[in-house]
Amino acid sequence: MSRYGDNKQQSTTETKGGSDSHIVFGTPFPEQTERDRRQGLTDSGQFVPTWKQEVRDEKGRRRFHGAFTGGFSAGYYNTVGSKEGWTPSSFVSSRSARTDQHASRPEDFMDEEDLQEIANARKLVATDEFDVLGGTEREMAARKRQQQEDEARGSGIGFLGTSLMDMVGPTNDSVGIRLLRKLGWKPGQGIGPRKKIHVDYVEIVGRDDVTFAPRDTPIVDFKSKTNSFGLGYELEKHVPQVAEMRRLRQLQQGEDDEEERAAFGMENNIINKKRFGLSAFEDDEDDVDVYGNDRRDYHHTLYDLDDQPQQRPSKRTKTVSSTYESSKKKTPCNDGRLPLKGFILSDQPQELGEWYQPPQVPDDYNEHQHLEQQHATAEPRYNMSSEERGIILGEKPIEPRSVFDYIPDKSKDRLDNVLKFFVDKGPIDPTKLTDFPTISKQQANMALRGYMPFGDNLKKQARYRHYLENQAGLKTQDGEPMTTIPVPEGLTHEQGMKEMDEFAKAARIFRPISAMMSGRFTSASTTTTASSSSSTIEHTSFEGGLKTEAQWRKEKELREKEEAEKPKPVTEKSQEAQAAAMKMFGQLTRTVKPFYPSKLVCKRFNVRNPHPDHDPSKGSTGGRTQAGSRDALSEDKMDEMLRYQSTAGGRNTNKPKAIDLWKDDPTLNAVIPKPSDRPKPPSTAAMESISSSTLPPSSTLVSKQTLEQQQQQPSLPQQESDDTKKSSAAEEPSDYERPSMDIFKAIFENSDDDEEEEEEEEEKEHKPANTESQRQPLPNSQQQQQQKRDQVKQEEEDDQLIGPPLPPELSTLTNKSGVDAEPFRPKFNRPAERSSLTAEFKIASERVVVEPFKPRSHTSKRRHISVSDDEDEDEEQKGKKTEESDDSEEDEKRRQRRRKKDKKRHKKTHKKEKRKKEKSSSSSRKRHRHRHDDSDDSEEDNELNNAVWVEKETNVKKKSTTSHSSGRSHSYSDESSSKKTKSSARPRASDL
Amino acid sequence: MVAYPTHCDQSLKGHKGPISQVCYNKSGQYCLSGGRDRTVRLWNPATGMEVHSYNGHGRDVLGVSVSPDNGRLASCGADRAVILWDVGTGAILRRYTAHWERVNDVDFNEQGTVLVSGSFDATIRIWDCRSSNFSPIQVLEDCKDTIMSIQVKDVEIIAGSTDGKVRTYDLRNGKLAEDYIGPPITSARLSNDGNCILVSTLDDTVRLMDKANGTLLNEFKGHKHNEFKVESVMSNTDAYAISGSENGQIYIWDVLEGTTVKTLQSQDTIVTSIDYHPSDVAMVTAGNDGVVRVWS
Repeated sequence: MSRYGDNKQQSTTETKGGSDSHIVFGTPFPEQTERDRRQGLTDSGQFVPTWKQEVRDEKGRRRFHGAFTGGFSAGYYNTVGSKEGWTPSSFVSSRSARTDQHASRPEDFMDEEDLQEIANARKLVATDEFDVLGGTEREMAARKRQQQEDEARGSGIGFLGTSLMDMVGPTNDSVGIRLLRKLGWKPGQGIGPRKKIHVDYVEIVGRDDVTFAPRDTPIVDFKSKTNSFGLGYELEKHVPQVAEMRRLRQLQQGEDDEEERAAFGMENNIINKKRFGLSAFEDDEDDVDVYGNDRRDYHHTLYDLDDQPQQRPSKRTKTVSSTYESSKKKTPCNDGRLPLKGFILSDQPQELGEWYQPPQVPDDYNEHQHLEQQHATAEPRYNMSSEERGIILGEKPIEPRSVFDYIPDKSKDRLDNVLKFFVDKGPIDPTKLTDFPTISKQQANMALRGYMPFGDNLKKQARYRHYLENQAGLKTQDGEPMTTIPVPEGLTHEQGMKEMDEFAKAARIFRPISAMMSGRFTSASTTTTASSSSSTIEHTSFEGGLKTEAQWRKEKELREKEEAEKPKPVTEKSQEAQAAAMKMFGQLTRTVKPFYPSKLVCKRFNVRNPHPDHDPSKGSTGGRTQAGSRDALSEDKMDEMLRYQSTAGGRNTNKPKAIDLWKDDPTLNAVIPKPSDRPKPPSTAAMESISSSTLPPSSTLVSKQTLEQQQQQPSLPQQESDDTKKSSAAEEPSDYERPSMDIFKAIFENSDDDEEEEEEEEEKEHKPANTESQRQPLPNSQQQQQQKRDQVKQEEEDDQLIGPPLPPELSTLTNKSGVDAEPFRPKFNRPAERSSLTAEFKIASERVVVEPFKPRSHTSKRRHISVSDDEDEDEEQKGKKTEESDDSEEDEKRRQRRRKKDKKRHKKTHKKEKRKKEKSSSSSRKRHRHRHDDSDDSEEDNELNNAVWVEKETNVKKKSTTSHSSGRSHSYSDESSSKKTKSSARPRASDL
Repeated sequence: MVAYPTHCDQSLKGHKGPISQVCYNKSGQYCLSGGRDRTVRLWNPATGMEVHSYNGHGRDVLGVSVSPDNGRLASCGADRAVILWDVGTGAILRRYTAHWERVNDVDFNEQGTVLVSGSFDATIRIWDCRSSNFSPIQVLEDCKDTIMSIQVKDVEIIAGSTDGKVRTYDLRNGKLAEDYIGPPITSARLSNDGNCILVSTLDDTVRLMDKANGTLLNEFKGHKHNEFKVESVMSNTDAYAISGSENGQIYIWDVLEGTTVKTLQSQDTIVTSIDYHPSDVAMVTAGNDGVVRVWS
């Protein structure tokens, strides 16, 4: 401040000097006007010369500052008074006021500060008379003392004397006691209304209207126990060190207290002693110990006691907290009264725990009986066998196993085939054809619909038809083909078997190419020259060709019409719907499923885990990622798909024998088989279990039987020659509709790959010779090489599978645990309906298979409701219109861009996705995009369907709000509606 | 003295646009509404005062809920977020954004430890309010279509879905009961005794279903409800069933008789949401006109 002042001064002097060469920095203070001066306004930062500076006290009075109050400068330039020194005050005569003179008290010579100090030092104490709290006790103590003195003197007269003195002498009871006396209280009585005595005492007293004063019972001060010692344990008594510690601490605290008080200028003898010499300007609140004697003994804190706060709160915090408490105290309770002393009203409501009713014990419950039973079972525990124990525990009895039980089926089959050479087969029933080649149900159906060969031999044709019908399951009640057929008339057993082979081949050849392809072609006129003995090849001359567009369309229309006319398959849903329509809610409309809440959810809901042994990685929650999304091709989805397919196609994977035609058929060899026709790539345990689980129970039963049969009745020697191939072919029934195994492989890759690789490596180490020996000379055809390789691989795997002990047959024949987990639910399909259901699906061919990979199509009918949202509300937000519409435009653009990109990407991504699904830990974003892809694709398809369920915009005219403003709404509503349409068309992940 | 609300006491104006849901707090002292204007508003229905407006949603608010200790709020909306609010400060405590689509309804469990939300993406997600885990602790994917309403009571989660099924998840028994109703469900609420579920469907019908075995106890008709999300509720004595209507009326049925005992004309447009006072004869309704009405 002074610097600026100097500058200013300088500048003024210089201007006075008349030289203009100086430079002025900054803005000068405004000159003090006359008005300011009058009002006493001064700039606090203004330069004031030293002699004009004044020291003023807190009240604004001019104050002497000097050595006496601890200042470092005093008087006039650190002299006294004024320039002249002491100025004597002018003489005032007191002669006229002589009468007023009186003895002067020390207070007369004190200034305000001194008086203040005295006032502070004074302590307001109740006089003896009014000292309610201490008075009585003091009196009692005095009386007691007197009594003791009397006893010490030992004389009755003395005692009499004192008591007489007491009686004569004036009492100095407190006002309270006197008041109580006036109310009728006498010393020795308790305080309170007089009570009527208990009935028992009435006879003693003789009267019942006598009232008695309450007993003088001491008020017990119940202190809550805050420490953790035992009852009655006194720490200080038992550990004298602690007592010492406490004493020291109290001493310390006393000192600290004093110091503290001194620091706050409360009691001031100490200030003079201790703080003399400090400047008056020094901040009193400064906690720095100037004298540096930190005498705190930290050792004491080691024995910190509960009842003594570790750090005494400073006076200031104390006052603050006390005011806070007092303000709290003032809040009344619910009933309007203040809370009891020492209590404060909590601002947090008391929470009561949840109370559950105790379980009701049924009347007929007899715990005794239960105990007896327990005893009965518990007693002979030691001499029970494991089976008995197992039965009690409800375990499945362990079947005695042989080594062969641990061999996988495929290997067993091979073993059987090999053994057939050595083992006597037993007699073959010559009247019946058994072990003839089979074809799949679907193939049989296709063949039935296709061209019928053997036109030259009508009997044979009839037999062929019969064979196909049998294979299609039309002959038997349960839809399963018969495995034994009587030898047809006029043929020997051998001829019959040969014919069966022929039939199977024919069925393979004369099937319609595929539903799609056959639709494109007209049927060719076929001439067959079948000589049953020499050649099995049918000569087909293709004279047909591509259908014309019109023809194809016509047929398509017809087909569609047929399908439309056909009654929709009666599903369980419609059952429910029927019941609901008939208002028969209840059993029919209710489905109960298991629900597996996660561990944490149970914890949060405060319930026990209802399925403690449920493994969340399996079952219904399987295939779900962290984010909760389900993979499009998750295991359970796949499972479902396969199940659907198996019911639709009537596939039977465990057919005893399926001939592999392309082996010895040159024409077929020339044709590159479909991926599904190729030998099965190494199947995994997972796949096996799936396929087995997907089988309907009846088929599993049959397959079990056939398996047994196969074991008992070995097949013909001619077929045994290439047993390795057969086994693979038997495992993989030729089913051309099945999607390529590569897909499955890709899906289950990560779960099996590692194992497989490991195992393969292991295999290479252990039995390279073995694989070499099994490798046979291969034909040149490429796909056969491929096939061989696959077979070898499979064999390897077969061998590997010997290793881990698989449970016998159970693993393949019983259902998977996931399927098991579903509780039994009665179905309401009548047999007729069921058959119609299967009939419907028989026709369905590739469409069914491909379906799961398609995005949600006709099933994506999304019902959509809106809470909704009309345009009018937006009127009120007219201001935002422009930006909103901008947004919408941008959105639209972005969407278009994305759509383009997606379309390009789509084909790639679709495949990639499938393959990468497992490996890439598939961020949810990607999946999200994938969904969008699909949605965009399906959008067009769905538009019609969804039209019904597009979210509607209400056309609510809000008359009341139009006054606010108008406009805006239309663009927004349009945009939103378009969004809705879009979103409604979007399929859901669960449907993928 | 009739046992159902008959006249409109207060009109709480403040929302700019339709209101999607309204509910009382647990004591019935305040009510909460969320609407198209992206705000959640807390009202004092007795005085008609707007206590606070909670801003933070990016798009329409579709569902609101109050925690059992009245200390927190939850709201969900078309911005696919579920937001947990602190009532006093209005601060956002948590924002859960794992849903793929608009979230239609949200509810607290009775301990206030968990939020359950149902969405257009056909999943019910359970969120943990205790830990700082922002991903759902469980995802229920049983529903085949949009979930329109969620209610958590005791250890049960009631979900009404557009696939026409009411799903009751019983956590204690680990069972899921699916009750097929048929038409899309817009609201499924437990009665106060917890034994029945009141189901509003898009065929102009409100049904009272028995929770234990899924049988139909009664059917209430007369109102118009075939397009929009309209809620229905039982009175706190379970004596009356109350539903909004698309013609702006409020229908009150006798639960036992199934007859309409009263229709109240509320407004010209749809009455979407209703909540009944937990102890008094009072209710709040809200609809497309953006006004919360308090009835008694």
